[in-house]
Amino acid sequence: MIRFENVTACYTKDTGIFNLSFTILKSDMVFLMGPTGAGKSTVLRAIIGDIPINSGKIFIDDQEIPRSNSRKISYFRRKVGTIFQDFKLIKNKTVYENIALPLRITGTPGKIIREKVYEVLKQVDLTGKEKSMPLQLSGGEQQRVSIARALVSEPLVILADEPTGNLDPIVSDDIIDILEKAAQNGTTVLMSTHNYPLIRPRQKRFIELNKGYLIQ
Amino acid sequence: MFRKFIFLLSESVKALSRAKIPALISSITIAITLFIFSIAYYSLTNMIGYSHDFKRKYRIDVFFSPEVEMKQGMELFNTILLIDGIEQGDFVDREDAAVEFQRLFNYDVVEIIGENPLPFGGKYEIDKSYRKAREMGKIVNEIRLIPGVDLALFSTGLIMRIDKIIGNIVGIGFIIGIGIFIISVILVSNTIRLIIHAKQDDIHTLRLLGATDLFIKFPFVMEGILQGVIGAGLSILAITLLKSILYYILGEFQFVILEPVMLVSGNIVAGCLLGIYASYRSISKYLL
Repeated sequence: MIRFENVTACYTKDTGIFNLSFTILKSDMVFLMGPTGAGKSTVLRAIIGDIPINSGKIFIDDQEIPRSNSRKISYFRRKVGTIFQDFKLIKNKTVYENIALPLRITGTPGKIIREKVYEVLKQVDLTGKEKSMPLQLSGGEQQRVSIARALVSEPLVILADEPTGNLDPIVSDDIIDILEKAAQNGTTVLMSTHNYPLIRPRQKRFIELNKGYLIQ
Repeated sequence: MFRKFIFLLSESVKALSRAKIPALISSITIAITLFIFSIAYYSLTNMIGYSHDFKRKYRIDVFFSPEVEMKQGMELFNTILLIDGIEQGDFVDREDAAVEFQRLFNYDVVEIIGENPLPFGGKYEIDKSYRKAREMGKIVNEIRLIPGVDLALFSTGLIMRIDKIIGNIVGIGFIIGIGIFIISVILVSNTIRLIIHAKQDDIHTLRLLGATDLFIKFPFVMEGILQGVIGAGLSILAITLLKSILYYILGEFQFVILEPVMLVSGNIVAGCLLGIYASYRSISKYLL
């Protein structure tokens, strides 16, 4: 599902990712491990075309990700659900409006949006919170909204960039449970974290990076 | 597509309502610009109309030499009619001239002198496109060169003064209009720039969620258009108010200050264009 072929994306001579190659299969949940500055976020940003890659190729579902055409990149990003450590919710929109946003972007009819949003709210256990504003929610709830927004368009892949970084261990565990369930339902999940104790009990495959290089 | 349009339109309205004060200031500035342009346009239209009527009264008067008789006078009259810029004319025979003399001086020339010594002549009206001091001067010079013509006159000084006044009004109005237009563009751009800065994080999030450039930029263009439409509405309101006041003060005085369809459509189109230009300026500068 996700394939890196000798990918290099560097900001300076020493920072970035260098000559990375790996493959993640469909419905897999894989953790991207490594200390701060290892290049975990760079891998995720390279997949969604948020940073340019210097060499190599990245494939999702056997399609190479576009590099330069901003319109193609936009359409490509719709296949990917992204979750961020800082949630990136739009503060003056309700939970419902935030979750509906990816569907608004694709021009989905209102009735279908309503059905999908309520369905995904149930999945992340936020039923009844649809009219709340993001700042009225706890950190864990905001992250659930972010996950719901990533899930609502039924993407092929979910990329989660340190989604538990700001959360306490119990809430973090709940978040990983939701992502694991998404993987069981057929979505490929790639989650970056530096919290090894959190993911150890999950018995999942992980890819370890250090200073931008893959540790075999 | 239509669903997206409705969604983006509602987003634009919401964004404007969040930035009420800057949006209102921009709309008022647009209204002032459109108001000045509308008033300048209608003033100019009225003035040109009146100056044409005015100049009509000061047509070219031609007096033929005393020895010119009726038949030669008619020929001369027709020759002058063929000159470029002459719209129409009235032949003045000696009897007409005596009547005019009596009207002007209250004396019967035949009774005083015993005969009519007044010459034949003509009164000529000038085509609209030639109603300028310089053009009229050229026509008069051409007439004066025709053998048999004794005098050809028009009120040069007066017409030149009218031309100068109109020229000055157009020039000053143009400079003021351009100045206010620039201020409006800057203010609307600035409002859009403020909204862009306030939404920088949201814009980045939208991009990461797969929004195209058009999806992101469209609401800002709509915000510019909405400010233009609000400004046009205020301008139309102000002009309508001014019209009522003018009618109240001037009563039946003939002036063409308002053609409602042209006023409304002109203001809205100009407001929209101004809004589009100003928002485009901001988007291309600050939304990369």
